[in-house]
Amino acid sequence: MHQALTPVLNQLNKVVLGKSHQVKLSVACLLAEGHLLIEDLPGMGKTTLGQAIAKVFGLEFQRIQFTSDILPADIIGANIFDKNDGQFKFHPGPVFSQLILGDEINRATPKAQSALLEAMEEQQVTVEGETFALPQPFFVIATQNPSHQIGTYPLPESQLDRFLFRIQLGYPDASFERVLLQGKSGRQNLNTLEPMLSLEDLIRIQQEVAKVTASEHLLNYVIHLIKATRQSPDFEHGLSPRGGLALIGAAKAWAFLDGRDYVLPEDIQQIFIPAVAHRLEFSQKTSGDSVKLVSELLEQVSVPS
Amino acid sequence: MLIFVQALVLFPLWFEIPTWVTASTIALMFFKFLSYRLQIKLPAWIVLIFVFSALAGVYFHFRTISGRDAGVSLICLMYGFKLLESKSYRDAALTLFISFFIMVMAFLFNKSIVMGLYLLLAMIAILSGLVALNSIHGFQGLKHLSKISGVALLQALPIMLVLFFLFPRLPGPLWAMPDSSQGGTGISDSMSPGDIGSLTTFDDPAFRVKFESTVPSANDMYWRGMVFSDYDGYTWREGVRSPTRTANIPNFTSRYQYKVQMEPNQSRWLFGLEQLATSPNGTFLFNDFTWRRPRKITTQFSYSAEAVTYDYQGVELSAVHRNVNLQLPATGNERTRQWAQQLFTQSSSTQDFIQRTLNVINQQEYSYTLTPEVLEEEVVDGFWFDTQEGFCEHYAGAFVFIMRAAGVPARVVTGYQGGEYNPYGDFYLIRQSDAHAWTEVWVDNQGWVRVDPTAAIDPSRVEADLRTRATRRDSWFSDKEFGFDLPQGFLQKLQLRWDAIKSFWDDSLMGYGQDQQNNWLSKLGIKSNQWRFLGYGLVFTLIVSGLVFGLWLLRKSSKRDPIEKYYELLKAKLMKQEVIISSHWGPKAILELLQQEHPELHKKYSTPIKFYIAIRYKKVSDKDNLQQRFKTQVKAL
Repeated sequence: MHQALTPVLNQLNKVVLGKSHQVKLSVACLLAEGHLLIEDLPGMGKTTLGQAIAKVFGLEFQRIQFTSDILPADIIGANIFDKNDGQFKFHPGPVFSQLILGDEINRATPKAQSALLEAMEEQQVTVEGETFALPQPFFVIATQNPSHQIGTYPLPESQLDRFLFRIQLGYPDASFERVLLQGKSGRQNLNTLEPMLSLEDLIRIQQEVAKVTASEHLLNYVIHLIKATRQSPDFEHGLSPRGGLALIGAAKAWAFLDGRDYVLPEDIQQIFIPAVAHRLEFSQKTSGDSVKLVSELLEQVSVPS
Repeated sequence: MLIFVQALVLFPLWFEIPTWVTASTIALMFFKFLSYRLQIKLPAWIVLIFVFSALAGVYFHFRTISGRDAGVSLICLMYGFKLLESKSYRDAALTLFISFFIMVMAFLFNKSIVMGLYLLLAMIAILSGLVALNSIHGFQGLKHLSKISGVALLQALPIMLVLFFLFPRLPGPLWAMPDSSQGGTGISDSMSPGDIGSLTTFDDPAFRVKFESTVPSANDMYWRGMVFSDYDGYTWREGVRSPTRTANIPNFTSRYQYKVQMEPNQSRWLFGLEQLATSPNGTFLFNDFTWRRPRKITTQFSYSAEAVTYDYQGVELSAVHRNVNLQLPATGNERTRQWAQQLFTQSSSTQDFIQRTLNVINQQEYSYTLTPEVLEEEVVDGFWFDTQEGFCEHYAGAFVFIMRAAGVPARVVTGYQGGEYNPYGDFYLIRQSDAHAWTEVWVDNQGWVRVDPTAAIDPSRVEADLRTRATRRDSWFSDKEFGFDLPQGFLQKLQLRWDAIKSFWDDSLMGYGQDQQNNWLSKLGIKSNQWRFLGYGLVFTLIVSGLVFGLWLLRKSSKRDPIEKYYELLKAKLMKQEVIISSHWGPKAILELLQQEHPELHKKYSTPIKFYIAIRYKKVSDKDNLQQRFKTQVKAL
């Protein structure tokens, strides 16, 4: 089944140039039924990536631009009085969509942020006591600016935990930059993208990913890693059980993308940083790059023989 | 990194070796740094020329290439050259191992705590170098490195302690180190003007005393060392003296019991609180009340002793002793001789004569200074009538001269006076700067009476910075009180505390020699045949620890499951083929590495690795079969 995904990845790489690893991670995130947080400076192609994924997978796409004055009702919808019927009627907000791109999520106030983040966790929305299920699949790609920028509300740890991956795009290579400047890719290509998988295909793939084998021996390795995060003096708290589950789920998707039906330690290592770095909180005395610390941790834990 | 370690290790030695050697080692390091940066390599023959010229330089400087200083210089230079030519892993490792040796050489010059701490730091640096060298990831930050090295040091601690306590100790140093600079500091076996003055500037400890009885007052702490009765007009020397078993004075009362811990001073005499009685074990008492040891004191030496008060009632001075202690050069210092005889005829008794002489010192313009005018001839006349300035030995010498000129037997005593109490270690510290000279005058029926002419100087004429010292000696004119007290401030407490630590360092760590080892062992109940016991003890300890470690390994390996064992074997085989595998790599990473960089190995190893992957990570039904095949494949490699 994974062969069907190869052209998908190729297409995406045509739109987002030189970022094949990030593209693969994004797809893995979708396959593992997780949500994706892209953290980078404005103008690095975050939105383009989100739109391209929506198009290629043929998902119903909504974009929410978060601003400092956005309200929860702007996201999940509200009951509005219908003159003709003479009663209140629920008008679904943009959240009722298969793929949501929450742009610059940390520019909104915590109240508005939590409206989306609760929907992500519960897969449903409750308005005035009435519960509305969200469509399936439900995939959120949120982007955020680095927190040191002016006018940002950093996402609390509890909400960061709801994203399966946090990835950074980074600047493109010089060669890709040249192609980009020549105008031969990017948003122009976006419009030419066609859906390459049906919704049923995607759901079936997601089910298959869940069936990928994570052997006892692999779990030993993951347990060692989790233990290491809890014992490391660099972090305030270790990885939560939810973090551990995320690790396994993501590794299964990654193994699937590699064409395997079993997870190897290398899969864990590939997805470890995007899956873990944003869930760990620095201890007071540590300063520096969480990505660096996590990758150091990865080197300190040996793979059981 | 290597250069840094080298600099750290050589640093303490730079102050000990000739300047040109220091300069060349620094130059070598600098050159190494440059050549590393610029990627230049020196041809071997140039290095060879350098090596030979260094050898020649050392030889011409010292006229030898053995001995402490020459040897150390040579080793330092060669160490620099080694770094210069090192390029491979082996060279670097060798350089680091040599660093341990070079590091310890610093102890040949200086054994203080500061040096000990410094060398600990240097050791951590060397270990860090070794860790970095052997680590697959290379340099990972100083903090990480020093942490690993620190842990390694701690792990080595038990072994170190066992070796420290049990390794057989030799009575003296293993090899005699010809000491090129000045000998041990301390009082010398003769006294000419200026000897003690140069000592009073040394703050080194001379010895430490612990009282086991009541403690005498500071004014009474006269630590007797040598007695000088022979005078040639310039220098005082020991006179006729003979060992004796007892003091030959029947009546005495015991006063103080104490224990002395002497610093090595390369001399034979011991110091004791006046008045001295039976000599400590292994030493001799001489009939001028001095103690001597047959061998030089080269390591820390401790002894117990007792101070007594003799009853001289009815004791006569023998004719020999009377002559010895009246001896003066036939001519010279005529003015003093006449003056003394005149004063003696005016005096009613010997005591009166002594008192009158001291009054002269007290009332006339005699002053106490450590930098008196230097006199070459007619030393006593010049001092007594003209310069009237000097320190203890001038006063003691002149005083004895005056006594003898008037026919009163007298002699010079040298040693130390006073002592600083250390409340933290409960001992008195006597420093070299406490060196002192005083006199003894024979008074009938009172015997040898101690007279300290220096204490008679009017305090207003004592150099300001010496006053505190002088106040402690004010025994003769005790009606005069000086208001000088040492400030008992924080700094002084700190110094006392530091000295207590230092005393522990010197006594228990540096001074841990054969005697201490024997003591320690006899406390454990082992007395005889030290060498054999130590040998057995060491071997026994090593065997037991080896067995424990072996058992631990055995248990660990028996617990391991076979797949793990064979996979480790496979990795070890790869490592032998110079494939570097990190412990955090999984099987897939190894496969990929082999495929990219070692295609020929990939052919051989890919099948077993794939089997391993299947056993460990895949869902397979016939696992036993796979395991069997995996084992045979690994064995076949």
